[in-house]
Amino acid sequence: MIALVRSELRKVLTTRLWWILLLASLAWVALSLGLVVFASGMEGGLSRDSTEYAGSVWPMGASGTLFVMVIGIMMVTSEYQHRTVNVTFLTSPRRLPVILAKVVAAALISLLFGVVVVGLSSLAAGASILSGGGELNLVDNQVPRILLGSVGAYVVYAMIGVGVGALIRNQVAALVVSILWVFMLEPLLVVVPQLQDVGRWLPGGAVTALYDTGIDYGFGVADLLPVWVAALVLVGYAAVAVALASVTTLRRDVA
Amino acid sequence: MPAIEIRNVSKAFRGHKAVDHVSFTVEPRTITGFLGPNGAGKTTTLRCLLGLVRPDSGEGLVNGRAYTSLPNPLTEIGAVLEATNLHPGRTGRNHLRVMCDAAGLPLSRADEVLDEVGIAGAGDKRVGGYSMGMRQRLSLAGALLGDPKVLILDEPANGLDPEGIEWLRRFLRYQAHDRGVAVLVSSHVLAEVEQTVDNVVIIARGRLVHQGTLSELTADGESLHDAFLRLTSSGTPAHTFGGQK
Repeated sequence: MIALVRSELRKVLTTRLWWILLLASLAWVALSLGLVVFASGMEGGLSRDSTEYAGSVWPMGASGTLFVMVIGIMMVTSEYQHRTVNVTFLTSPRRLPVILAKVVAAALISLLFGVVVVGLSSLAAGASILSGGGELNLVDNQVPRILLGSVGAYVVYAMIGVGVGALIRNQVAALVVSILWVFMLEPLLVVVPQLQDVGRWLPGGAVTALYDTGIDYGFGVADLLPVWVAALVLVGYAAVAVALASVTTLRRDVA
Repeated sequence: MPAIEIRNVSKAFRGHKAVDHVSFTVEPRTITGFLGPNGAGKTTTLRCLLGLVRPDSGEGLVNGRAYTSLPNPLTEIGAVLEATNLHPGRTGRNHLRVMCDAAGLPLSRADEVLDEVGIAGAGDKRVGGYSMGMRQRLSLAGALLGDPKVLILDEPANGLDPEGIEWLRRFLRYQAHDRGVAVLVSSHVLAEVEQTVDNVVIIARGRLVHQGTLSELTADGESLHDAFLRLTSSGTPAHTFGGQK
């Protein structure tokens, strides 16, 4: 299993995709953070020493999670796209261990991603708060939990990505479905109060629970799962996707 | 025990019988040509043997075992399918190292096999910049990583220039006759294999039509070419052209 994980890590690190997505994810987080900082300078904006401001900039590192989901998806679908799956399954003909190795490798790579992106984001967030005269201890010292939760969000998104890729082997279809899900469907389910009962159990809702600040921005406090339940739910989604794939797509002929 | 044994393998795709009760064996120290027209079922048979396609019935065995139950397949059998099974953004050496990792082989094997197939200088180049012949050689290098005693090559001469084909012939003879490897090489181009193979297995429309030595087949003066056409034609008379009688 360790051999397979090492092989999967080498696969990811020997093409350009990972660092392009790392840059994209950094750029996305910088843009999101920049908008909040910019808005704070405008009239009626959040004051940079306020709790609300702190609550919006600290979790910003988690906004680049989509990019690691793309890595997770591509770790499976690019094998079919470039037909390297032939070589992979010839080398390791038992297919489930291959996908499990991909899940582990995706978790390791996204952990690195999360640490880098959340780390840089939190440096910028902290600097902007200090320069605005604020203090670094947000609401009952939740900052460490928010940052850890943000890194955790990267890890679970990448794992879910592998599951999605294994279920939907077509690269374009897998990417389109997951991007629509993350950007269109889930925000609705999480934000609209009537749908929150469902939304909090979905990946996006559960991930939000990992880094939620509990601050009311006028929509009411989001009704989310406890952090530990959310983490289990997320790992569960990845497990269900891999399990489904192992009895469906993974069993199919490789032609 | 034969190195490769195909036992009564059948496979249908959407009702079309691609392979229909095919059986044959390949022995160590021999080169067996697996011949048939395009679409005869050669690739499907090989994929069934290699665990990539699940046969509807029958089984393929490598050293007496199903491919999917081999503990470390690369050390027993090397297979080259189409040379397009490569990521264009990865270098040749890294392609091989990925395989070394998964098979638990030392990374130094990557450079050794690159050298063995004559593309040592291209190891650092991305595969996207490889010619078809270089991709064939890289795929072959991957099959050699585990120093296997069985080699399977599906249409290996595709994209090779005459010099490359001559190199491949010598390479296969060396593997079989000097190293004792069992070689199964599929092809639809008879000239490629005529001078190389010891045995021939011929299939047409999914069915086995002949298995034997090349010398048996051509014993009564019939060329491999004529024998092949006789065995694989569907019974329709050859077309005539330009009003020839």
